[in-house]
Amino acid sequence: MFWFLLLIPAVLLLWFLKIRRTEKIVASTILWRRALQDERVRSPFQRLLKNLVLLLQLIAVLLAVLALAAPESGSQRFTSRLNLILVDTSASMNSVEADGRTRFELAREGVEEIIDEITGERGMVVRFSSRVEPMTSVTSDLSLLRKAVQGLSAGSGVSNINDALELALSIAKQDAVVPMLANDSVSEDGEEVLPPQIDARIYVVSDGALPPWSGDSFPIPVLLHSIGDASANSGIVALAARREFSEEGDLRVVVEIRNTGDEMISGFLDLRLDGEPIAESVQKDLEGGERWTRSFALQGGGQHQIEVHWNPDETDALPDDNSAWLIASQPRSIRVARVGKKNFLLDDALSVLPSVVVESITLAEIDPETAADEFDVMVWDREIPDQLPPGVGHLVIGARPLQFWPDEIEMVSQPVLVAWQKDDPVLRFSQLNAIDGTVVETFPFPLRPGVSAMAECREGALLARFNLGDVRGIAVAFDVLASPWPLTPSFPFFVEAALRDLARVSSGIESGIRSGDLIEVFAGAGVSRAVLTDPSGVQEVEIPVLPEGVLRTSAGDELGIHTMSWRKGKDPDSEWIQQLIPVNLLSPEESSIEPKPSIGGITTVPEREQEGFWGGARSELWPWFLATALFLMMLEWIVFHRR
Amino acid sequence: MSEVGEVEEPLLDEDFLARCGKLALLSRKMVQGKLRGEKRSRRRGMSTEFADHRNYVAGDDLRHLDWNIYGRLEKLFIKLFEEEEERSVVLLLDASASMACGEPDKWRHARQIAAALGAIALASGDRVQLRVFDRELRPVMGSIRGIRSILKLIRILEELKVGNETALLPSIRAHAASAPPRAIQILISDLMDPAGIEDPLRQLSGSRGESWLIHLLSRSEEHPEELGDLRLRDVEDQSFVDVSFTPTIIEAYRSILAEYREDVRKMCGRFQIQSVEVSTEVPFDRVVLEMLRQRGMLA
Repeated sequence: MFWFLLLIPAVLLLWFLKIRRTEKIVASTILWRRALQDERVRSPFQRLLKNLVLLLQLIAVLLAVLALAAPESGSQRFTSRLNLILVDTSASMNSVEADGRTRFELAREGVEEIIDEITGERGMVVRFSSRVEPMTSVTSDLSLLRKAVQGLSAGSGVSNINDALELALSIAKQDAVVPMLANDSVSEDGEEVLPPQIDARIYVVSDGALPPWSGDSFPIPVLLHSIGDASANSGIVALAARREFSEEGDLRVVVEIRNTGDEMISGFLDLRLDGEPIAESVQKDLEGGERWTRSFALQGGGQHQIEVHWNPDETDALPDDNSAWLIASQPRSIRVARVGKKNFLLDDALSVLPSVVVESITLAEIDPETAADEFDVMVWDREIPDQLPPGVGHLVIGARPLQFWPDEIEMVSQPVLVAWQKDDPVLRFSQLNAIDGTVVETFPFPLRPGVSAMAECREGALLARFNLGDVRGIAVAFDVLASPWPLTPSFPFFVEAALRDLARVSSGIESGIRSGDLIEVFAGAGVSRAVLTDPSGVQEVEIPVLPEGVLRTSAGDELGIHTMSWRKGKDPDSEWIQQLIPVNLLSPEESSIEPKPSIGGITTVPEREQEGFWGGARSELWPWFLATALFLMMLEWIVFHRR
Repeated sequence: MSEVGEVEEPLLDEDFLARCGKLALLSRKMVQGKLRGEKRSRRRGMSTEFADHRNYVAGDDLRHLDWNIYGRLEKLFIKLFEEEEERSVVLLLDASASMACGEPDKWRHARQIAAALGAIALASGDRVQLRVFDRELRPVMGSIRGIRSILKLIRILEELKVGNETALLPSIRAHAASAPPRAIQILISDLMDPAGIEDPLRQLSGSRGESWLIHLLSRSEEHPEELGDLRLRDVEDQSFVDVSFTPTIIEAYRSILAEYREDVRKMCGRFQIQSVEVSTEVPFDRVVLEMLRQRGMLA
């Protein structure tokens, strides 16, 4: 646009060359006025034709008016090509390159170059890491895109390229229009023959450390603007801990360090408990690509903050993955009501669980109105009331909750397990091979609203969650005594996990929340206010309180230990209850910072041949109209003076 | 027009003055009236139509003394013949600013013509008055008579300067109210009055006597030769008009000028004003000695 500054000397030239009439004194202007008037009136069209000067002025005015109308050329559509710019703001974009700049700084420059290329077209900027967030709307004002990019920064989340591409594709499809045919010819029946066409491109500005696209073939061009060269990095990619089944609840901590580069990296590993080193630093040389797993045992219960630090001998390209945190807290006891027939295997499983208080009661002793106050979970073994008490979790074994399955279910013998949800927190440590084809008979639960399968056979769910209103629980569709499951270690793991899940009591180990993931705390009823404090202790964010005291928010980009605090009741002096929440990177994909030239799984469809007429990208014509108008004005001046 | 400090040449030279003595203004009414069918003499005193006597005053032609009365009464009387009944000639000279414009400029030309006609009238025994006007009538000189007054007339004309804007109607009206009866009124003007010329010409013809119009324009006003873009500023009211001189516009101007002149001729015909169109391109002596004689205004 700066070439328009050339118009300034043109304007100056016109000013200096402005017509300056010589003045002549005459006896009278009477006759001259009459002559001019007469000439004006006599032959307007001939004057128009003969008066080249006037003609040029009229054309110049016309062009100036057209310029004001901002005409565009190119595509037959009413809008220009759409360019969706997806900017990777994940943790790997914080990697430091050889020149000392971060990848995100390079990415910002790359986006500026793209914006320069799409002059005359429309654009939109979307940032993606764990979450996908549009930074602008679709606009032809490219200055807005530049402004949005300047405000961006990389975080510590993982790269969710799939959600970003899905959002981009959705926007592009909404933008699709029907093009005109190339030669003004129409089909024989005179109707349009082409479906809506998408005229869009997707730019992905990233180092390519992205998971592959998991969707179908991508119908619009995706161009990867690859950033970065550095590849040497090592960091913590996994951290987990669990309490041992001892009275003291001793802790077992497992950490994995990975060298994602090609060269050997040496460093040492620190473990701290509540800020104090609890073991000597462990030195390790990691070959290129090597994975190193280290286990630590910590004795004693109670609440503790566990920190793990990996310290490479040489400066690391991505420092964000060199630290991780855990919170180990003493879990509160789960109050369990055991209802049903004698089942020693179930009772044994319940008895070994730490922090579980079991009370055996009969069906008749249950008061539905007070059950939620007395118990956290009710375990029903082959006996169940018609209406399960609300507000308390239910583990139903070998019975059919009538509120969800009122009709009889056909029995199936020796059902074959076809799928189970390994990511379900209840099944995380369970191996369900023991029930694959070994259950004598079952009544598989059909799926319906309020029901989700945890493990399935062909006929229905063998394990299912149910949740409707205040009634929620987990149901087992068979008598566990009619299967070998209780004899396997996975059964008590399942029972413990199910009780904690239903009681909404953690295992006492808070880990695995990645930046951008959901933080969910069950604070219980009566919460009046809740805030989340960042690891520095400076920034506080008010958290809305959901029904039943659920506190839910997204983990930000700040790595470290956040504090969720809440208060119950209306008394402003009531004590704050706190829960510590560690947020870690723990991503092998983000730690593997070697730039990649393509996005896995993306195969673009070749641009459609000219069945429809798209033309080029629309370009603004008003500058040309304005320049031509000024040129004509200069020409008019020349003609005027040379007559 | 002479610049300040510049010595202007005399309006009339001796040779022309000598020729003026042989001319006389011809009054159309007198020719048609009492002297119908008679040949008019060019020289005074030669007529046999004795009309009357009057007392001798210094400067009278001694050839017209009535010696018979002197012999009897020892008193000097001058014979008056028919054609010597006192006739006045009023020179109405437009001295507005527009007369100083044009190439060659009209002001000298107009004064030369006025001087020539005045000299001819004085040489033939007429009384002559000189009145100049611009936005009002300015009597410059009282009535003069006799050959010796010619130089006085010329000197006054040479000292005259142009004045302000033109206002023909009030000026001629004022003249008509005080015009001598049966005078020949000679209006010398470019008629550049924005208020129009019909009423002034009507006023001129309404007074008793005979009216002549010397319509004077400069060569540059008749045949403009400018090129390019000019701003023409009126010398009198300072208004201006921007004109881009093209052959078309010049042609249009000439057409308008021709129409204007035709209108003047028609008005003069209607009001029985003898008119002659004079250009400064034509030397004044040719105007007097040829044009006016051809028109029968001089003999």
